[in-house]
Amino acid sequence: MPSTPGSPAPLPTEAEILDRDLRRYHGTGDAARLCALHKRAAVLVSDPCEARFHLTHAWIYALVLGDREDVEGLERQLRAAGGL
Amino acid sequence: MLDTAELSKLLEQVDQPVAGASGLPNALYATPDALALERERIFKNGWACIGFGKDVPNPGDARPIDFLGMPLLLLRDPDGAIKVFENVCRHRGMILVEEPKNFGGVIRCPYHSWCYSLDGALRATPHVGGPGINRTETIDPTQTGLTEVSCGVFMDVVFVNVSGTAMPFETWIAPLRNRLSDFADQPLFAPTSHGSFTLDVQANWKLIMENNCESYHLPWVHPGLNSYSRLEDHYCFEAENFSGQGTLVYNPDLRFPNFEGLPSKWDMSAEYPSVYPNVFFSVHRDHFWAAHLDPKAHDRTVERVEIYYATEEAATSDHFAPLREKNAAQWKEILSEDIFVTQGMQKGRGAPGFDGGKFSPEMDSPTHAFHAWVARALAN
Ligand code: FES
Ligand SMILES: [Fe+2]
Repeated sequence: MPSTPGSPAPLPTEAEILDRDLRRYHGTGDAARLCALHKRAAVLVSDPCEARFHLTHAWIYALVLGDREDVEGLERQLRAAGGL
Repeated sequence: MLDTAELSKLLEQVDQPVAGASGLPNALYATPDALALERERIFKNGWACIGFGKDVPNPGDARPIDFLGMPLLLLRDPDGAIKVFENVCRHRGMILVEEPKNFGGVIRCPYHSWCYSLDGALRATPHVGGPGINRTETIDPTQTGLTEVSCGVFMDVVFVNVSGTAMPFETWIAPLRNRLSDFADQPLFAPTSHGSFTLDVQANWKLIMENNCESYHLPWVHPGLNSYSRLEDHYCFEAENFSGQGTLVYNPDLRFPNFEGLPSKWDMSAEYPSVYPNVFFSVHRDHFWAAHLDPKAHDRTVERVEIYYATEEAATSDHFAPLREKNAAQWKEILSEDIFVTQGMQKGRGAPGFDGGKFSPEMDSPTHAFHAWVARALAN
């Protein structure tokens, strides 16, 4: 809904904040942050396909970090979601 | 254009006994085609130097290398072993690594994010089966890893055989290992300062090798060096894949700790084998250096020198820092003194009447050995 002039803008939703952060960190190579953001996004979205998309990205960044435990956890989730 | 029929005829005159042999023909120095031919027959088919183990000191370190236009990735694996891969993604051929860096996990291709383990295995193919589906029937990860390049390390110098068709590395390096057996398995310490320098030479790579093979030029080109290393005090040696010269009066002012357990012959000797095609070694009782020649064009070569010491203290302590600085500066000065001759010979190769030159059987034999080796490699 467009905000009325004079009234304060509505607070951004968590999804909007996440989206903004994903864009912001996209080119930074900050794998830890990108992994965390995609994990959070996977929980937040309601569409299972979209969740699997974010899990995939979180998994890739966990691989880049070499975080074995995280990788294993994400692979379990991806397998359950039919992504692996 | 390189006239290959004419070239084969000329190469036959090179691979003759030294007294009657001609030098390599002008065309092999003065045309880009020549480097293209050498790239295939010498640098790809045989063993050649691409760098140093010290370039990737820690597990996970990776360094991209442009080896005559072939993108390679020099890598130290988690167990500390050196590996070399083609630096290209197996998906769409994107360059994988553009800058030296350490990989704690996988190597991710920046294009579609296929990921490779440090052993080269294909580890992940995101969205390859559609959004969020990370596998597909038609791509077998066990067959789609990075292309590994045969490599070997000797005294921290890294060699590759890109074609994979050369003899095993240990067989190839055996004559040099034998010649330098007193040094071959010594621990080498890379300096924390004043350990390397680079020279950008406007000359064909072979001219730098040739000049390093012989001591004939010392009294004229390196008068300072000659004061403690007279022509009479030098000797030559030749083997199937290297040749060079040694001195019997190595006695520099700079004193570093010696390598352990050296026979007494090294008290006053030093040796300088030029290892074909593109690296020369320089061993002394207290330090070692190698010069890697990286041909950038038929008339341009980057010469990179890396120095190593016998003890950690010599290589890293502040106490030895001023001496290391002096030592590196001295070697840089000596190798810089050679530049006007290698560049001068490069210019000379433009003379249509120059027929490759003549060799002195007494003084030029190691240079001729290199020429004959090049002639044989190109003839194959
Ligand atoms: S080119 Fe490397 S993932 Fe596509
Ligand atoms: Fe010289």
